[in-house]
Amino acid sequence: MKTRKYIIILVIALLSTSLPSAYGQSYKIIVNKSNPATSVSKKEASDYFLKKKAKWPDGTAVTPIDLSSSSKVREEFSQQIHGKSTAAVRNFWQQAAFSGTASAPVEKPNDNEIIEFVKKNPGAIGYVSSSANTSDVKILTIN
Amino acid sequence: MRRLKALYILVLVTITINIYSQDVEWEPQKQVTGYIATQAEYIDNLKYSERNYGASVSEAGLLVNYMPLKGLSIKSVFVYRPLSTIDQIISELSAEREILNTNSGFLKLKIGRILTPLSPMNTNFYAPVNVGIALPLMVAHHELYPVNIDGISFNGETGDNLKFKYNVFGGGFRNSLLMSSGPLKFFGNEDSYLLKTNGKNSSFNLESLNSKLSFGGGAHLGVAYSDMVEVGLNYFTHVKGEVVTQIPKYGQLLTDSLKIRRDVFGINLKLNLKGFQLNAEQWWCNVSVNNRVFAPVPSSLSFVELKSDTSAMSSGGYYEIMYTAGKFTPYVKFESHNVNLFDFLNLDYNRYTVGINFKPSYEATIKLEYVHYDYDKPVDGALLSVIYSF
Repeated sequence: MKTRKYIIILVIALLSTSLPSAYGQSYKIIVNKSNPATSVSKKEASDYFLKKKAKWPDGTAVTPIDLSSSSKVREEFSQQIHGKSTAAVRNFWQQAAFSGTASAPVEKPNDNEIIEFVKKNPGAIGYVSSSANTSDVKILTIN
Repeated sequence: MRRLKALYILVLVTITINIYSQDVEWEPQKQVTGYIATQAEYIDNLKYSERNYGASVSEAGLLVNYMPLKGLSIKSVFVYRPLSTIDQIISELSAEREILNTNSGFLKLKIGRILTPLSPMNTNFYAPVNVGIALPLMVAHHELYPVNIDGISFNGETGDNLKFKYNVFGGGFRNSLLMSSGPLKFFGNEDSYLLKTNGKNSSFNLESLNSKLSFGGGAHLGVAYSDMVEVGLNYFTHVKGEVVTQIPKYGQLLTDSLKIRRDVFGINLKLNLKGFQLNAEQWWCNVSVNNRVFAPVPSSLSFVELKSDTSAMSSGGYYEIMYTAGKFTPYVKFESHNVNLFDFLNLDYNRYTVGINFKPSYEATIKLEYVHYDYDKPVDGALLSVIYSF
């Protein structure tokens, strides 16, 4: 009887940890409210965050911003959008810095600072956890 | 020392100009990254050396990139290698400013000490960036172009998926030849070693090129489609080079100075498809003599008289294929090295490399490599490198 209880608790615990990914990703991609874009493909998002695309369709310069490298939200974002781990993305930026092709985006420690940055910069693009209050910025749907 | 002072002044002038031209709010950005690489190597049957194996810190690098204003970045890269001087440790120290339009990237001005922006390999040789361990021959020997240059560069790019890139640069440099690396100091000094195994000695003091202030400049034009393909054309001219030669005369060695000009042409190709990557470069270098000088033929009593119209052609090639599968990147390389300095320094050999790069995390990189020099008396070596990045 006790064993069954433990199994049920274990199953509930496992289910609760996987709920966010079962109902959608644990992050939202956000841009400044003045940005006319409403959606973005994974490839486009990856290109914006890796500075492979420097401008929005309206000509505004893209300013990506990352969560800090220890963030779990960043790990999921990296896996789903870039198709690689945060460590691999950091490798990419280290190579870009040493070879002089680009520099890594600014990193912010939490959702609030990301939202604040995006609010102030018309060309900014960032991501925050799905539970963050994003009323001051615009959420892009991912195609 | 005077050269360093001039470098600092150049960087400060650019910063000052830009502080007054700033027109938008900007949150200063800073990036600091670096690495420590430890290398162990074994060279089979190595002659003229106490031992044929060893281990040492082969490279330690620190990059600080600071962007105090929008469109302005100040980059410094310090790389320690055993026995390197302070001047050599300052690998890069430059300020770059986007001009005309700070969002376009179409025209950027860069001043200070910069990596010579010709060959893609020459901007990818730092230990964590280079997939392999041994420095590419054209970087270690850099008889084609210097590794870095103190001067000015106008560069930029335009286009979205299809990009056009350019870089025009010029300045002074001293690092014209040879950058030895590894605990045994074999890599970078292969030319003199291989000549010696063949019973020859160069009558050039090749290190002398590193102590003379030279001037040069060049241009790079490139076209890239997405991340998949990039091709480039490169030109470099070294207008005032000087090599000291040693002439046995009246029973003693007299030194003379050979003034040279180098004109270098190169093409490069990069392909990147589903984890496969090909990097290829081929270079040709025409060396012409600017003064009349007598120089001895190695291991003989004869002399060669070089007139001001004498010229010789050298070449070098770098071909690298790698495949990235998760944390593993196996790779193979082929390098050709053909030095032809008239009748008294002729050397033609190829280097084959096979290896694997394992990156279990951002912080750790482990590389294992086997190298084979295809020469009259071949040389084989095994290398292991462990890199900690931060």
